[in-house]
This record gives sequence, C-alpha cells and structure tokens, in this order.
Amino acid sequence: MNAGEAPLLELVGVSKDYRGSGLWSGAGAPVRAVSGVSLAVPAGTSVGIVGESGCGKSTLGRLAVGLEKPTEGDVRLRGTPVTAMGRRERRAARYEIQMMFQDPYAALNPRMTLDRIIEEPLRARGGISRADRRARVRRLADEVGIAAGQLSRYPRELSGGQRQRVGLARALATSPALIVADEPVSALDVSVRSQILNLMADLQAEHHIGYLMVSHDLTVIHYFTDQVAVMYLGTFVESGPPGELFRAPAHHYTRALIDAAPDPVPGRPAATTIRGELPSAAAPPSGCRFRTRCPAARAVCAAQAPAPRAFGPGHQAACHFPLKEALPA
Amino acid sequence: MSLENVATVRGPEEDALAAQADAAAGGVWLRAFTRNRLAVAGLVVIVALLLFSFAGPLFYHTDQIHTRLALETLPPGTGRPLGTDDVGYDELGRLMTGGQTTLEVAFGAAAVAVVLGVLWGATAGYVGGLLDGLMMRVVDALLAIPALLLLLFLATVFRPSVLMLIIVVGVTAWLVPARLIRAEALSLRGREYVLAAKTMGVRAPTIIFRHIITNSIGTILVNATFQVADAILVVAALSFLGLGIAPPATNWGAMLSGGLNYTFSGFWWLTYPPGVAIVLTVLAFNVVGDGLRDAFGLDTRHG
Amino acid sequence: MSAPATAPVLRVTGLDVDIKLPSAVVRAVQDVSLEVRAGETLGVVGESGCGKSTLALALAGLLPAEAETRGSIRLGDRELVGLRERELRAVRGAEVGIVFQDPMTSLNPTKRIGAQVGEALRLQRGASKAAALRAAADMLDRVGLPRPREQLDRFPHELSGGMRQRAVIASALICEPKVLIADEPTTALDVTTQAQILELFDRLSAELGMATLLVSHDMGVVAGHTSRVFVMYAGREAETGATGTIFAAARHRYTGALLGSILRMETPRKSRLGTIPGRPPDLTAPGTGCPFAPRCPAASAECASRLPAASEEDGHRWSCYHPLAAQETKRVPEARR
Repeated sequence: MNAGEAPLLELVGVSKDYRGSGLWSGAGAPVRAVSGVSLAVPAGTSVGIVGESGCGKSTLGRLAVGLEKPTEGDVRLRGTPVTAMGRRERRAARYEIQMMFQDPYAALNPRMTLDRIIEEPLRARGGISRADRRARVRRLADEVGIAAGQLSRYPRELSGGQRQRVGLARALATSPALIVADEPVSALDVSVRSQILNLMADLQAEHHIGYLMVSHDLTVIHYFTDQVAVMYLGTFVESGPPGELFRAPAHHYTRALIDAAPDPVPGRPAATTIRGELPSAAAPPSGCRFRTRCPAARAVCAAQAPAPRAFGPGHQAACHFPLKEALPA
Repeated sequence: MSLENVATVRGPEEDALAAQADAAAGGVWLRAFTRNRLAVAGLVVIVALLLFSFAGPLFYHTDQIHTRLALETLPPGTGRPLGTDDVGYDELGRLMTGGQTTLEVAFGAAAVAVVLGVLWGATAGYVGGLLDGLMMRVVDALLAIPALLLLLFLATVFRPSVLMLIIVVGVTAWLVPARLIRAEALSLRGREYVLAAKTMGVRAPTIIFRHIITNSIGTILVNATFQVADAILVVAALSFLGLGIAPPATNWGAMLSGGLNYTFSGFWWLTYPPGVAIVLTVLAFNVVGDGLRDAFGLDTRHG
Repeated sequence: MSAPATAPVLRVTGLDVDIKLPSAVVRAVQDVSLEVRAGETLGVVGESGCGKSTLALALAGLLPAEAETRGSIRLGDRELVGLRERELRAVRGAEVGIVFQDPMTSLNPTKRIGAQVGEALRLQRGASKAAALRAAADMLDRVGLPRPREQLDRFPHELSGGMRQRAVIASALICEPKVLIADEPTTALDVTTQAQILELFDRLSAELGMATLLVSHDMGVVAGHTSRVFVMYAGREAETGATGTIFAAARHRYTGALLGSILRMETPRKSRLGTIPGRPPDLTAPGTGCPFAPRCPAASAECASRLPAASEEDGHRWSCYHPLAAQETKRVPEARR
C-alpha cells in the first residue's frame, strides 16, 4: 500500500449504541456495544478482530459491511465516509464489501437452490443478463469447489463445509474488494476448517481481496491475518501483528486469552489467569474496562482509562501496567 | 435485542440423525403427511365432496331453477334419492348446487384472508418499528370488533353474491394469519440468510417474498386449511340468519336453516344431508390442517 | 501410564446403537468397547457424525425411542442395556451424572436454581426440601459459584453462561455419582470461561473419585484434561490409548490426519494446512471394509474389503492395516491424572 493512499476500509472513532431491552417503545438506557473504535483495513490484507462473546466484535463486523449504522464516528471506503456518498455511490460501495457468515446452517435460505443463492447478489445489483449470471455462478461454484451438478440442490443436502463454500461463492459474486468473515470456520469440524481456510487464502491470492475476520479463536486469527485487534467490552485493548502480539503480548487480557486457549499438547491444561465474569455492557467499569478481572489492576486503573501506547511497529496496547516495556513516546 | 452472537452455541457436532433428516427434508413433510391416515382420509373426503358438488350435476341432472310446489317435501323414493325440499327442488341436486357455492365461498374467502394476512403480517414483522406498531394496532382494533356483528353489518349493506360473500368473509378472517405470519417474520428477520440478502442490497419487498414468506410456508398452509373450515361455518351462520345469497342459489347453511323449520314435521332429509355435509367438510379440513401441522413439525421445530 | 489395578467403574462391551429413521436405519455406534476407572477421565473425540454424542446418550440411558441398543454397558456390576425406563431413572442422577453442551437448555427456565440443583437428591434419596436446598448450596459452593446461598433463589436467565454451566454441573454431581458423562460441556462457552470449567472438572473428578467420560471435538480440551483418549470414526473405534501416547505416537491413519489438520499457535502463519479429503461415510449404509479407507492415502484393496482387526500394545489399541510408523515417544509431560 502506498503511503498516502487511503486504506480500503476505515472505521474512525466508531461507536454503536443499542436501546436497552424495554417494551415496544424501547425505553431504557442505551447500551454501548462498540465504543470509539478506529480500524484500518488496507486493500488486499487480512485484519482480524479477536475477542469473546459480548465484546462487540460481531457488531463491528456488521458496521463494516453496512448492516448497522454507527451512532458516532464514520465508516470510510477508500477515504470517503459512507454517509457523504450519494445514494447511487453508496449502493455501489455496498457491493465492494460483502459478508461471510458463521453458521453454515443458517446462512443459506433452505428453500433456495444453490445456484439461486449464489446468483442473488447479481440479481440485486442488476445490469447482468440471465445467461451471464448463470455463467458467473458456474464459475464461482467451480472456484470454491462446488461441482456444477450440485447447483440445483438445496442446502440441506450439503455438509457444513460445503455450505460455507457456497457462502463464500455468494460473497464473491459481486467481486468485492473486502469480505467480512464473521467466525467463518467456528462451526466446522477441525479437518474441514483447514479446507475452508486454504480456500480463503487461495481466493485472496487470486482476486486480491482483503478480509476482515472476526473470531474468538486465536489460532485461526494468528494463522490467517496480517494485523489483529483484541477487543474487550467494546474497545480495542491491544492491536498489532499477530506473530509478535501472541508471542509477547503487552495487555493482560491478551495474555489471559492465550493462556486459556486449549492447546493440543497433552499435560498442558488450559490455564485460568483471570477470574470473574464479564461485566455488563450496560454498565462498564470506570477507567480501564478490564480492571475488574485483571491480576495487575491498581487504583489508577479505576480512575483513568489508559491511553494506547506503542510497543513495536504497528503494535499498540492500552494498559497502565503492561506486560512489557512500551516504546518511548 | 441481542448484542452479540454467542460464539458457537451449537458446536461442530452435528448429530447423524439431524444430518440424515435434513437430507430428506424436502420430501419429508409430504411423506410424514401421507403416513398420517386420518389426514389422508380427510383429504380424500375433501376431494370426494369437491367432485360431488362440481362433477355430480354432470351425471345427476335435476332442475335447480324452477320450483315445483306440487312436488314439495316428498320423502326419498325412486328417482329422488334424498327426496325434495319445500319448494319442490330435488334435495340431492340441491346438495350439489349448495356445495358448489359453499366450497367456492370457503376457498375464495380463505384465499383472500391468507393473501391479505400474509402480506400484512410479513411486512409488519420484517420492517418492524413504527410501521409494525401501526399495522398491528390496526389488527388489534379490528380483532376487538366481534366478527359476526361486522359480518352482519357488511352483509346487510352489500348485495349478497358469491363474490361479495368471499370478500366479506375474507376481510374479517385475515387478522389471524396476519398475527401468525408477523410472528414468523419477527423470528426470521434475524436469520443470517436474511442479513446476507440485506448486505447484497436486495430490496425489502423482495426479501419479504423470497426469504420470509417462503420460509413460513408451513404455517401459511396450515392456517389456510383452518381458514377454509372456518369460512364454511361462517357462511353457514350467515345463511342461517337469513343473510345468504338469494334463491335459486343456495348453500348448505341456507339449506340447513330452511330445513330446521320442518324439524318437527319429520322431514329429516331436509336437515341431515346439509348438516352432515357441513360437519364432514369442516372435520376433513381440520384433520388435514392438523396433519400438515404435524408433518411440518410446527409445534416443535421451525423449518 | 500405570493403570490402577482396580476394576473399571464403567465397562462397555460390543455396543451397537441403531437409530431407526422413517427412510433408513442409521448405524450410529458399531461395536464400541471401552472402560473407565474411578478417578480417570476418558476423552471421546471425533468429528461430526462419528457417533460420540450417540454414545454419550446411550451411556446416560437417554436415547430416543427409535434407538435400538445391543451389547453391554456395565456400571459396577449392573447391566444397563435392556433396563426399563423406570429402572434407568434410578440409575440416572444417582449413579450417572450428565452434563450437556448448552447450559441454557439444560436448565428449566421457569424453576429456581436451588430447586433444580437439589432435584436429584429429592428424587433419588428422598431428601426433604430443606435438606436438598442445603446440599444444593454446598454443591454450588463447591463448583465455584460466588455467593451460593443467594443463587438458590435465582432463575437461570439471571446467570451468565459460565455460571449456568456450573449450576448444571452442580445438579449433575449432587448425588455424588460414580460416573460423569459430559458431552461437549464447554463448547458453548467463551475460552476463558471454558478454562475455568475444565479446571473445575479436573478438581471435582479428583475430589469425588469419579469416572469421567468427556466427549469433545476439541483436541486441545482433550489433550489437557484427560488421561485416556478414545478416537471415533463413523461409529467405530479407530484408536484408543493413553492421552500422551495418542498425541505423540498415534497409529491409526485417521488419528494422524486429524492431529495433523489441527490449527495451533505453532502452525506456521499462512502455510498450507493439512486436510482430510472427502467426507465421512453414510452411516445408513456402512460398508464391509475400514470406514476410513475411501479417504485414506495409504488405503489398499484389503482396507476396502475387510474390517481391520484391532492391534494392541501396552494399553494402546488401533484398528488399521497400515498404521503410522511407531515413532519415538517424545518425553511429553503426563496429564495430571
């Protein structure tokens, strides 16, 4: 990426509020699911967001793809905020970013045949003849490893891995520049995961697409992405290159996630370095949000939210008592 | 509204059972239905009654236009399997003609109710928010009006004809399917394939048809069969109260009401045939509806 | 690993489970034999459709009516196959505790936690309501639920996922059963919560001296928290042995392929991942040969035609005509139990 060239996708100071569950009028204090998050995805690269349930990562994914609108901040495509675009431009922008969903059993309409499913984005965009659409669908199916003969089948006749392939083909239909992948392999068997990850890598090489991968699984993020952000209760606590970040994290939450992840090595049980439960997003702790579960928390952590500091090239973390030395400001 | 997808609530473990069942799901409901003997019997009865009413007159010719008072209220005998009614019409022929009207109005009204209800409910449920609120308050308000009174009012205002009856009955019956389909739409709109369609820029009406309504087809079918049964009863009730279609047209309800004047005269062939016909049809549609509901597994799983 | 010389608490011999569907019969479990001793945790691993959940249900006596079970499941000296529902109920809860994957559906949303946790005690041991509640509070404390007395009156939806799973574990263990069957107990939980729950299993298993059967698709969970592993494929046993042996020196081709396809932190970034081509076989029509043959790179004609007999060596058993070469067993640290 050339210096000065705007990244493909950028989230700038994005926050998203939801109404607390109330009656029909939705009364109740708004819950801030995402809080002041900034993220840049350069074209052709893979960026990962890792965190546990309730951290806001799925919401972030939906904000990126346009399924939700931010309450604050903006989403920029190649430098231009989406809100500043005219209707036509916005519609075109939508086709540049597509989504791949977690649950292969819910991501495809059970009453549609595979060819219809893959064709749907092309029909929605318009401007392509039926014959051209058919041809494109067949090519896409071939690319993801679905035989042409399968195209007239229904999703229920396919395995989880095959359905995920169809989901990928559908996401690719409009030749997007970025695919937001929300837990793309979490619901799949271990051996099938490798197939899908290999496929995603191949497609990236072939079509120069970027990925924004959202997952709770550190090993997948570590393996696949070029840049990762660790999310907790709506904010990024640490971000940086996955190799370094997971080898030598600066933030205690990242450390806890690494320790807790079960490793297929006998005799090495998952370690619990943090205790307690996730605080409610409706009432996040003051100062550093992680302080209620952090083994290194002290008084200042409650008083003041830590500012992000640099720990290496592209490696940042927000912690008053990080695990390693920050670079001089 | 949930803020997060819980990371893998269902792990990769997929029961062999579910996988196998899924694979056959396309034909499963049909096979499950045909295995239900009561439901199949109901279907047979419905077809038989349809044939009886519409094809019957081709084989059994009677004059259903001119009255012949000289032949009034004759008991069943040769050439008159069910006797004659109080103005001399052949009762069996009457049953066929009446059946045509009854079934036409019932199917027509059910169609109107289902189409209107489904469109209303699916739109309200999918769009949500203020529109949903408004649309469902309309439904609530109309539900508060006793249907029979509304029907009586409409039936007195509009000149009764088959088309009018269809519209009148349909317009009071669409409220229930509207509620049902709205509930389906509410649960379906969060499904990932609907979200996927949104990210693709598919427009709302297309999403409603292609994704919401097609995936509610089980509920819709089941409700439609119950609508037919209800419509028959409503038409019978209306005719009973004298607000049916003018003679020489008739329907089973009118025949029943007319025949009841003669209960104590012993002219059983004026009341039992239409009564039995009504009960049979309503029961048949009810068991078919139940069978469909079981076949689609609607009480437990959602398709 | 030195096997304790005590008799196994749970002994399964030649277990077959057929599930009768309207269109076909699914041979979900075929000829499975295994043993679990007191204080031991046996991990049952395999991918979707391998039959491990059906196996867990069979051991818990919770198979649906359409299932037909043959073979033997011995709990102590009592045979469970063929028991009537009434007799099974006496066993379940008192001698066999069961923990399922989804804590939300394992708990009745309309009953309070205290009542649910104590339920087995009242039904099986005839305890009074008060006694059951006291025992429930004790158990909730043991499973690490903060302020257990307060939780007794709460409803499931008031608890987080991790706390709910702890409550489920408490209700499974309240009668101090001899056997605990846990089917994917942590799959629905966050990784940090998962670690806590697994640690809990380890502690309780040691404290209560239970025989635990831990069913999981996650090799990491199995590696760190079991002493023996049972690998299933297409309803059958592929390989079984001490956890350390299986991970360091697997002999069955499927086990090797499975271990090779796991993504780990050590997996080189952006490298090509190992996969297993093809799909698991259709369990409605199992063939005559090794079920893994169609996907196995080392398969021969014999593999496709005849089921391999099991080879055994020091408590390590596998059924493969072309097993992986016996590697030098690396000095891996033993599992804690």
